[in-house]
Amino acid sequence: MTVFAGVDVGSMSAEAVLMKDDSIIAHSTIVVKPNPVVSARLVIESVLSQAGLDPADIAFCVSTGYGREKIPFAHRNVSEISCHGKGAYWANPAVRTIIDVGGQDSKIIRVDGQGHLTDFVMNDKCSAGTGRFLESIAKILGIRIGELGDLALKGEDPVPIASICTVFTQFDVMCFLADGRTVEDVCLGISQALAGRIKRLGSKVGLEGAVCITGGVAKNLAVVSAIEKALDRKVAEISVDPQIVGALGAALIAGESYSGQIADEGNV
Amino acid sequence: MILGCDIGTSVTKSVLLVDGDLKLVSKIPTRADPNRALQLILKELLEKEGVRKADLRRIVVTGWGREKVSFSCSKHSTMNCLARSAICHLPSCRTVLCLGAQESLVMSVNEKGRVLEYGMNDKCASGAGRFLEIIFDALEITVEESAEIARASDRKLTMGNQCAVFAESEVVCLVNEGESVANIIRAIFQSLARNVAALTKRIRTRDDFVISGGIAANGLIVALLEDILGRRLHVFSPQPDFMAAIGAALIGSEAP
Repeated sequence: MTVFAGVDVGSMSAEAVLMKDDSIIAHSTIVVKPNPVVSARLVIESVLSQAGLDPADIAFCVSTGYGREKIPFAHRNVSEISCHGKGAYWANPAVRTIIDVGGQDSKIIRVDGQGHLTDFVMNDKCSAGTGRFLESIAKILGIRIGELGDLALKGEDPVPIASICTVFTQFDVMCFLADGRTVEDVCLGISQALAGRIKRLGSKVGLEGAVCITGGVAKNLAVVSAIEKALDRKVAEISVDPQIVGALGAALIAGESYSGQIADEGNV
Repeated sequence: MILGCDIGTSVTKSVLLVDGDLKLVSKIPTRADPNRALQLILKELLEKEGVRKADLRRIVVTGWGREKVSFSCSKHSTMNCLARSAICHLPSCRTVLCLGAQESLVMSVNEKGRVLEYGMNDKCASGAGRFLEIIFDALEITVEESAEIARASDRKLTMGNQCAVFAESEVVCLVNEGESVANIIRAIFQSLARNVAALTKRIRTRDDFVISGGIAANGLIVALLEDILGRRLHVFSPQPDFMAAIGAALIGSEAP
């Protein structure tokens, strides 16, 4: 039995995927600990116990995400850009553009008809347009980040967010609340503001073919709908939980790396 | 008697001008509600100074919150108030820097206190006072003690992040790695000073410089900024954050 593992340790969550015969046999997501190594251990233990496997059963493991270089049990580390491209293409071969809204950055990744990375653009300088933006606003509203989407779906008249900066938007939100605007309208306005940042990022690289969204934010239906509106196109569905796409891509690359290794050994 | 109020995004400052004599009245948090802030000031004026609203010849408001004020009062732009105040403080002033909670402003003025040119950053918190507040909260220190702590710095660090939100996480990481709070604060001050210095390049600046706003009370930041700019900065007195409020009162006293 040849099992491949992918581990994606991000700034807010960590995911692990186990694959066998080009199918996902288990996947897991946890909230990160301050130390990426601890997060990686916890998430891999969780996914192994789900599958009823031991660490020794993993033939090859690839790590990705911001803590990827520090993971001791990974055989190789690969950038999250390659992993998201790989994972999304596997989950929907029609996909050519991937929007990944991460906890601490946002990226737009382009792949070709074979799923190979062709171009990407990333914002990791400014928290506007990232998961941290939503988290910071949720904090001001006194809600959990997971509640923001549902509340936004009930919004009727979105508040206009004029600021770009996360910090200034927090202040704008306080003003809207002081003016008597509802939390629902604020959440809707915030979703649109995030979509506006994504649109701007997309204009730098161009959006082609089917577009999908990966990362935890893809589960926020209000944000997805705001992005669809801002980009004036439907977002393509993918066959897996959008949050595990990075780890899935890492597991796929683990499979390829393992095959490459076997081939190399065969040549010696 | 004229009341000058500067309703800032973070703090509302008010001064009373009585027959040409200035008196700083109060500094209260705005809490995103300009009308409430103004009412609190009037209440304080009555309780502390025995001044009733009817005793005031005029109320002049400026700052971010002025447009939201529903009272009858005169309203003047922050830039005009700052310029008026700067010239009164230092007649040779030709460049005004104002470092507030949510914006940094640089402007050149003529001898009459007219604004000739200006540059403003109100898009990103990285050069503003809120940036410092966020970092100080993360380090659990106060604004007042920050400069003193930073003076003990023994090593130059460079912050990797400009974004206030990311810098906050970076600061937490640095603390966890055992870096001294003094070195971290100094690096933060340096980063802020660099951003402000970059802003001044947007316009033609001339001596003398007057610096105001809450951040100007921080002697170390002012010194770092003087180093980068290679110029002397005159800190507005008696208190750098009252410059716009004083300007509002001065403008109010000149109107018929």
